[in-house]
Amino acid sequence: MRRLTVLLIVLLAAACVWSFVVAREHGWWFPRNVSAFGERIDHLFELITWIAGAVLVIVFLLLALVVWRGARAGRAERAHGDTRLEVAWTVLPAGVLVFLAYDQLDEWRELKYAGSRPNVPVTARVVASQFDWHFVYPGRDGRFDTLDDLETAYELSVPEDEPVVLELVSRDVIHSFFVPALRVKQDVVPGMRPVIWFEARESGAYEIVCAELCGWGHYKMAGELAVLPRARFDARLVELEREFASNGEAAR
Amino acid sequence: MNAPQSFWRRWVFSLDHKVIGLQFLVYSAFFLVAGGALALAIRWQLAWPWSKVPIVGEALYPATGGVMTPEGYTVLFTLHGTIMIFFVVVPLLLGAFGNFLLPLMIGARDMAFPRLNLASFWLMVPAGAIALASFFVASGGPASGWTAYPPLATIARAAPGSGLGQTLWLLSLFLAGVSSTIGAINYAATVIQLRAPGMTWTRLPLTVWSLFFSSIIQLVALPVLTAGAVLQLADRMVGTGFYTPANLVVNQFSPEGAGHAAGGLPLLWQHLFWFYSHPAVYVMVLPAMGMVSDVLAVHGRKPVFGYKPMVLSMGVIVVLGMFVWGHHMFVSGLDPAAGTAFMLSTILIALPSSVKVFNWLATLWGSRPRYDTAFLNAVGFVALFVIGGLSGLWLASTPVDVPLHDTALVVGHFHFVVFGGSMFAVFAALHHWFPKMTGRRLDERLGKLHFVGTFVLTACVFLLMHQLGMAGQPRRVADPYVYPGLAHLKPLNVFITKSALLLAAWQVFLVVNVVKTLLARPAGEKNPWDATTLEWETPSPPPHGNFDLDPVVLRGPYEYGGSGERDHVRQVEPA
Amino acid sequence: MSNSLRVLSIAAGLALGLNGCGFETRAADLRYGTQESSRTALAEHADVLVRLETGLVERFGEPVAPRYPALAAWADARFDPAQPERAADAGGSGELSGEALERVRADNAKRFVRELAAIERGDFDDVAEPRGHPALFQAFRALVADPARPLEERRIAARALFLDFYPTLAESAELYRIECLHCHGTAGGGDGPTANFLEPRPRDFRRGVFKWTSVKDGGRPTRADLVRVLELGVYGTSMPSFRRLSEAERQGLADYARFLAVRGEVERQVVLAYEDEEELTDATFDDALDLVWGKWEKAPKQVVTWSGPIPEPTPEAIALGDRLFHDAAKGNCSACHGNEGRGDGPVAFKIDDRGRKTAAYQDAWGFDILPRNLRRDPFRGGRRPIDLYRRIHAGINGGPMPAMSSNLTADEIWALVHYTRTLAEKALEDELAARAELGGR
Repeated sequence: MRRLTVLLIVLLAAACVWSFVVAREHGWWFPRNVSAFGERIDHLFELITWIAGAVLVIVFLLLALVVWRGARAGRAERAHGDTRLEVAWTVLPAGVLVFLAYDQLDEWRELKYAGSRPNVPVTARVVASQFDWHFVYPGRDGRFDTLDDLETAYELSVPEDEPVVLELVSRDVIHSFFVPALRVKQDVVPGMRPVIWFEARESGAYEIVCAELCGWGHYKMAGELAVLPRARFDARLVELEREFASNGEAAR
Repeated sequence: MNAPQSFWRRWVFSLDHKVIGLQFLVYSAFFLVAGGALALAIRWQLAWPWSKVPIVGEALYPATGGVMTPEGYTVLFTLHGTIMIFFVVVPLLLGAFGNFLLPLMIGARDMAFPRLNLASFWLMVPAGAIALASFFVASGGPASGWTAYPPLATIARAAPGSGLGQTLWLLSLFLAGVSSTIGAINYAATVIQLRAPGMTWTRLPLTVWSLFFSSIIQLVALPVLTAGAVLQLADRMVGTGFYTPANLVVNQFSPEGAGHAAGGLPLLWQHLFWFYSHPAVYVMVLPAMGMVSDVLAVHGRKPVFGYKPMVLSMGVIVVLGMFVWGHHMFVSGLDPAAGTAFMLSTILIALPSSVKVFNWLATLWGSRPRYDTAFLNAVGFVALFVIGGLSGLWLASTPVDVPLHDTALVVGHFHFVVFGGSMFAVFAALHHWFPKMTGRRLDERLGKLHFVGTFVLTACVFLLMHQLGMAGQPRRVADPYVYPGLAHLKPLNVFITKSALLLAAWQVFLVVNVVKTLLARPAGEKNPWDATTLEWETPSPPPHGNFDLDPVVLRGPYEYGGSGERDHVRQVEPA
Repeated sequence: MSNSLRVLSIAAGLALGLNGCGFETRAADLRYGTQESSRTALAEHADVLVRLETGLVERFGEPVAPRYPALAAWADARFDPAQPERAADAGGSGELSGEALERVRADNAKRFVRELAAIERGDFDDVAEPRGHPALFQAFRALVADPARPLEERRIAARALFLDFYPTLAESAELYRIECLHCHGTAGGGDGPTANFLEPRPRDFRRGVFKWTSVKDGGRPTRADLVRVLELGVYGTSMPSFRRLSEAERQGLADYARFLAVRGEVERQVVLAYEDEEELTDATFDDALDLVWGKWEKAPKQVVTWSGPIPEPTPEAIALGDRLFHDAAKGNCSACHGNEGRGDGPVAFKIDDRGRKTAAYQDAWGFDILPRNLRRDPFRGGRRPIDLYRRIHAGINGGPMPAMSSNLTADEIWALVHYTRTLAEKALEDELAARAELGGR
């Protein structure tokens, strides 16, 4: 049983490492990042993964080793501890942990603190309700809650390579606005109107996911983020305007 | 003390801590089966959504031809979480092992308050029954997750199951909360008051320390959740609006329109809930740590390395554990400055756990293990707990938590802690103390077979959930493939589901082992493992009143190895 | 050691053996059955009920293989019962224009982007079953597995298979099963298991009455109306937008919803005819089908439109709208929608026997219905001015909202449209007022 246990421990460590090594090629990794800030989050993730991975491998090898060594003859030493060792393995991880904590203070501040918000008008308002995303653009007057507001369901268009500020509103329960490709997630709590910002660097269509349980239809609450070059974004707003002013003669 | 003779007094309404412990054991085993069945149903849906659920499908979902309904799915994960936490792991560790071991290990004849002990079990019975009953309510079982976030949970019309189902859920939570609080008072008082002569604080086995610390957490934090649950009940039943913001319309229902107060804060619940429910994780893992320490020492034939750092680190976990709840709310709209503070405390709490891991490694270093099932499961605990702990680092980091929050990675993380951690400690403890409970040793061959399969399959089930979460699969979705970007994860989900089915099937070996052993003639070995602590000083199973003569403790609990006549010196042995 | 080897080999053997076995993941067996109303009407004629059901199954099939009954008139138009909307030269009714088909193709390229990329690479095994399309996937597997055809040819054919995808009625029924059934029910009765929890309840298709249409005179919706509801959802209800599905899938679901509506209406018509004539023959079914389909065919001719650009929301128009809204002789909107548009007008409520305030009106399906709170609730049928114009002009099918076209001129209707839209702006104002009130406490 000793060898089998050692084998199991080594196998488990190998499986952990394997599951991360092959993750990218199987698409088990984060979707490709397209936000200006996401890179720094990914970098932090990788840093933590490397540290955690190293710790895991060391601990598992030690565990395998101590289990392996148990077969020797004679009795164990009746040793109750060693203060120097205790201090060592308290201080060492503490150093790593303090480094880890310190290393992400800047990211968090720039990601979330209100002072870091880019000084641009709100691009769109995201209205969440069971089980739908609606998006409101301020229209030509640049103000919300006026007659020329433009509204779409499902698809949010934003300009590429520009800071985008969104105001999030919930009509009923808590939802969460999650765009995996942008590394953006923010709960939408009714009664609060959180504001988020990001800069998308690549045009394309990305998934919007609801990440907070909002009822039976939670899984259906998908949306799409269309990142468009500025000119196409403007054209999209004009298209919405035209659709809004439809007189019903076109078939749709 | 004379043992009561009638069946009812002896086995049903017993005041004997050992019988109550066994009652808790049977109770949580029952709920383990129920919660496990729910888990399998969840996994079935995630692998093969909208296909006929085998065996029970047609009975449960007649209108869809046996295919799960979305609202049915929400009930499944709500009750899975609730049952596993409140009716399996906590009662298993504190109720069953805590009750059985605590007085024995400190040399007491019973708990400080045997009647409270009785009440604590008999409150859990209606609590569990109500939780199960809520599954069958016509308006749907509770469906807002085990976290019950308002307004989804507080407004009856917000979701199927937010009606009577949720009220029952809250009632059940309330009863369980009262039961646990009573139990915690009892454990703490027993440790403080009823230690045998000579059993100083530094001679307490780590199991006792861990139970004591868990009780402190329960005493300090649990009343907050219980009170929060009462507020949620009030929001639902008497029209208060603690958690209901103004101007909501949920499923055509307006709380103000119906005369309810509004203007409350949904986040208030999250604070109250996590103020207990995060420390609850430590309630679920501290006793596991304590028991594993004892098992490693006894079966490794070596003293626990660093007794005082072990105790101290548990104490630090208790204190720090009260200040980390906000890490569940990094993306909730919590003030980012508070996020920073909670990030720091959360990262710090990794420290005492890592100290414990190093001390276990040092305990094992140079040990002479017997490699029996109890020992193997304890080693399995250490390995799996390390994985669960390390994957917590991502979630502790505020920026990294943003893309990972509420994804399958979180599910993988806490299942490594609670299944890989707590449940493996339970397996170890079961094999270790079964001879004390029943006078019979469990079969080693079946035990090892059970360990190997369970260990491998646990990794198969939960390891790749981290990858699911990284790829963006959210928690609590009935059909992840709604998102085309997740379609390629189906083979992974299928693999996890097959492994989970297998893992469940594998528990047959444990069941067979227990049944087979119970049917065998008791050997009645007093101290089969050559252990030093007090519970092994009395016959197996111990009589009513535990000890014929009150033991007098002369030394610490871990005198193993060394070069004396025998490789251990019992706590009561004269020098 | 031998002991541990034994343990290991038993464990490994069992694990491999069990993990290797496939699980049968069968779809459900579903049946349309008959409507509650038919069962009540024919309670004493069990044999007629059986004949009704067999007649319907003969003509419409069951959910695994639904089909339109072939009308004699359709045969002339080369109507393909499996794909009724295909362009006329492709054997369809011609309802899907070439332009629409182009849209379908473009959207297919987006919907199946992963599949097409894998085919491009020649990596056929990398194509997973698209959600809800087992039939398409089977066709694909059969195509690429054919060793007789050269690889390049198979690749082109596979590309075309995905790009030209348009679901048959049966494929739409499968998609309906996983997306719609749990609310709208197997036969479209609005009686799926989730329906009990929803307010308002999901639409019962079987009367052919739909609320959010572009048509007047209580007509059947056009196909575009149904597609639009699938595209935008019905905001403010539990019906979400289904834009995450492809254009082809939405078109197919709209077809299937119409199919269920036609089937339900035919059933009701047959029962009515039986109650009149006391006999049930093939002709009864055929006549009912003619009658019902006639209504649907007429829909495109009943669409309410406005020629030229829609009028501007001038202050005068808004002021006029304000007057009309409150004028009992003209718009009289405030009677139901309330003076401030909060949906609390006196006419909408009554006091029941137990002294409680309840809804005064029921909708066509027998459920209580209340007027919209125009300040807070979103406009369910769309918030474009033309949507509101249609709503006021033609009323709302199945509910108490009347058609105002006889009472108001077009300009007056536009004035009301604009005034109503200003009410919707008040939502934020109200929210801020509520918060200020709380803050002041």
